[in-house]
Amino acid sequence: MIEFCDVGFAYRDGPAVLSGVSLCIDAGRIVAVAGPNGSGKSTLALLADGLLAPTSGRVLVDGMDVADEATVWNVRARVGLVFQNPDDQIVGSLVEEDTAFGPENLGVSRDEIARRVSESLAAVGLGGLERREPHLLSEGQKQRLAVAGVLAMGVPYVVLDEPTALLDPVGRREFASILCGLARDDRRGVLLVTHRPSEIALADEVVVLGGGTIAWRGEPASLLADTSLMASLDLAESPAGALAALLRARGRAVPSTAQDAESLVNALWA
Amino acid sequence: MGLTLTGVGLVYGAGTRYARRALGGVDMTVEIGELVVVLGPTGSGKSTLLRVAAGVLPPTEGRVEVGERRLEGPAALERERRIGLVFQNPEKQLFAETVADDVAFGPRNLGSPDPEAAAGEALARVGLDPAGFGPRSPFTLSGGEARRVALAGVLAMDPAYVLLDEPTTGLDAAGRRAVLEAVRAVRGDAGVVVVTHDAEELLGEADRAIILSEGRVAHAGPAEGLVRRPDLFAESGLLAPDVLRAQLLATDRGVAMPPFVLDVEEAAAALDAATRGGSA
Repeated sequence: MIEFCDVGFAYRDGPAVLSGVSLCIDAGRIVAVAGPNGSGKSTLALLADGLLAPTSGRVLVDGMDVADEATVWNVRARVGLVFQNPDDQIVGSLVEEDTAFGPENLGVSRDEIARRVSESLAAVGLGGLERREPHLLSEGQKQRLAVAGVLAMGVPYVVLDEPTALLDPVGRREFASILCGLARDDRRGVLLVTHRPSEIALADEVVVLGGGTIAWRGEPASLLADTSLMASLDLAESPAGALAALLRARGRAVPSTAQDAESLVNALWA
Repeated sequence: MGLTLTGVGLVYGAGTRYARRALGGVDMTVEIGELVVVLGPTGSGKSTLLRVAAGVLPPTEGRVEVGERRLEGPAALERERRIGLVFQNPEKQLFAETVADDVAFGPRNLGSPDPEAAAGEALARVGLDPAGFGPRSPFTLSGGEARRVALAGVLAMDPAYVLLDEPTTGLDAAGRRAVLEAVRAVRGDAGVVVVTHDAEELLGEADRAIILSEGRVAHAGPAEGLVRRPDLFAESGLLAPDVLRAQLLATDRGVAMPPFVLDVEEAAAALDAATRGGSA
């Protein structure tokens, strides 16, 4: 598991970006981290795999301290980080080479790399594009390639920093099913930085940051059901969520986690 | 008047073995005071369309005209030929030491007699108090503030047309609201074209909507038409906004719905009425 124990962080001599943050990501679970721009979400993602070391408190990955130079490489072999912009992490000149980059650097054998590359690309729906040049992919495909790259490393934990920020609505929907597969089918622990209600709804737990501290935590359903709480945390209601809330106000049994048209209409007919 | 594209095509790397067509046969027009929304899947040519419309990229085929005159390049002296282009994530281009200086950069380079005043007016138009924000460093701004400063930098050059590429991407709730408010304010005396993935944000108040698909216009018409026919989104590989899709799905299940609307309250009332009792 990834544990944040009373974590504080400041960039150089600057003000605290995070303080007193404690949370835990277990295998098979999705923890969503939400909050307005500048609330410390991306910093938290960078702390989770030791790209940053906390200024106070500790971040542990399966018991290993990310700040410990002796184990930081073991930590990074267990935590895969997907940046907001996939162009920041695509390095290969072919899709398959890019996917192989992570396991190659972990010293994985050739045959095993080949197996992992084809499995990972299939898992994100890029099977058949092995020989494509990454710059010819759409943004959505690039985003999925970045995920394939961390899957091929065989990491038990995946940290995703606003992975759908650049995607169109179709791409966002495809990504949601990949995300659920990571946690539910593969039993990986997932830390998802997002402010989209449709992605918050997929999580087991949601942690909302505000001004660098945890402003709210709990189950997605209770957060999404409470319009004024959402507003007080600077989170936007989705149009589907707003529609669901209005239907609930009319006495209809539409759950707060119905964050798209399909689940909303299904609830009306249930 | 108006900014008009007629039969515009664009091929990147034309004449080389890397030639790749990004646009073909595109017609588009926007008048001062109008809002046109451009939709389309990623890679459909939306950003290229804005660059061609702004004169940044010369079209391979077709014409771009402002009023009666053909557009020759991006920097025209008269206001009616000035076209402002706000790129995606424009806050990355902020470079000056203060917000006021950054916004004054454009008018200063256009030879404005009073670039500071132009900057102040532009900041006010995007809802940022020039006295409070002017002296600040661009690096201390929130996402929504920085995005609006970048927009103000374009407005300070007093363009007759403003083209925006996904202006709300990556912003939180407050940032989105503020940027959309600023876009509405600009529309007062400029023609506005907005490329977006989030159709629900502006479609309800737009004059016209265009759907691009693989570089071609798959649909063009009054925005209202797209609200009434959300099935047109799927034809171009797009997902219609949830509020419209919910109404469409209800119809697919065989209930009678009034004409579709983007307004969530009206949509909730219609969905409730149509599916209450026996039918659902």
